[in-house]
Amino acid sequence: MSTQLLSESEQHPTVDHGRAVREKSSVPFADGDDLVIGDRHFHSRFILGSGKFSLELMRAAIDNAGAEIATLALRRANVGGPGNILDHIPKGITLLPNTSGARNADEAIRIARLSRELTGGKFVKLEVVPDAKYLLPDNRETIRAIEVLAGEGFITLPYMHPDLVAARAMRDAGAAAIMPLAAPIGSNRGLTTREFIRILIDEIDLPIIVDAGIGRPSEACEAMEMGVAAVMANTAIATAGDVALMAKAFASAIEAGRLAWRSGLGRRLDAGAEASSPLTGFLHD
Amino acid sequence: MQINGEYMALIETISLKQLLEETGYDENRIVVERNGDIISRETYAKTVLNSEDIIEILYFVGGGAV
Repeated sequence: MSTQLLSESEQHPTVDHGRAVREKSSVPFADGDDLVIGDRHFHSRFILGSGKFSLELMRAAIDNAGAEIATLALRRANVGGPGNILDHIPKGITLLPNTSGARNADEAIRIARLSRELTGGKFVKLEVVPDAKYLLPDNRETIRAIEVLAGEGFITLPYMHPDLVAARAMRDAGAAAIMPLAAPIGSNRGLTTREFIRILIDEIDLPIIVDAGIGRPSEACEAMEMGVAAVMANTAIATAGDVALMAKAFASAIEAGRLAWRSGLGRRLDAGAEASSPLTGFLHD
Repeated sequence: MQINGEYMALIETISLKQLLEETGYDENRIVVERNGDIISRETYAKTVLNSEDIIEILYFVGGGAV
């Protein structure tokens, strides 16, 4: 078994809060505000994709992101080369293999099983993408893959097009979280599907994790303010001017958005104004 | 025999473990599939290859989505 994996004794301590609190809390910071996926608790709500980085920069990105979950992809192995990515991911990071390359449920299931053999873990980020131009997921095939893999004990996090009916079917099939796309993969175009992600947040009692398309920290923050449980980003960090700084910027934005959501946003006036200073007591009394 | 899509002549009887050692793969970083079945690491030594085998040797690379 890989040394990167958490042994049972190293896992985060279980707390009684269950799924992330939805009500207002008097606790100002993240104490007890765990992200719960399957049977695992995480403190960070920033899931980092490990693509497009040099091996050295990826370590810096993980450290600065404060990420506890990193995604990986399975590919044909070459002998030699620049080294293995598992040697550059710090101990204690939960590995989240994706099923990239799968065009149907059967291929995704095959990749998930192979990945489990290598990680020894149960987590899999399900991606079933038959469309090579826009990289949009096939929700129906994804549901089929969840049914099989959840039955085999996998903790499945399906990448999906934000559709309520599909999300319900994924939940019913045994998904541990739902990962709607914000915009096409790798596009950095932001939270273009916000209305539909909001519906998933309201209706699906699973962690909703925004995946794909988030390009800026402000967009990650907005998603967290809306109430998503976590944000996954990769390209936004990997293509930034300074990878380590941008990882830190995203981490701050995600934490800020989470605090704002826990607080509850201040009310908004649709018209007019309301002074925040007392209007009486001086000049025009 | 096919390994990762490339044909390779099998001139003597070897185990999967020997193949991996001779070709230089790090056993701790790969997963092997033979004819569609995953071969667990513990059985590499007793897995004898034959000329009809289709072998896939896979490892993790960086990846976010797709």
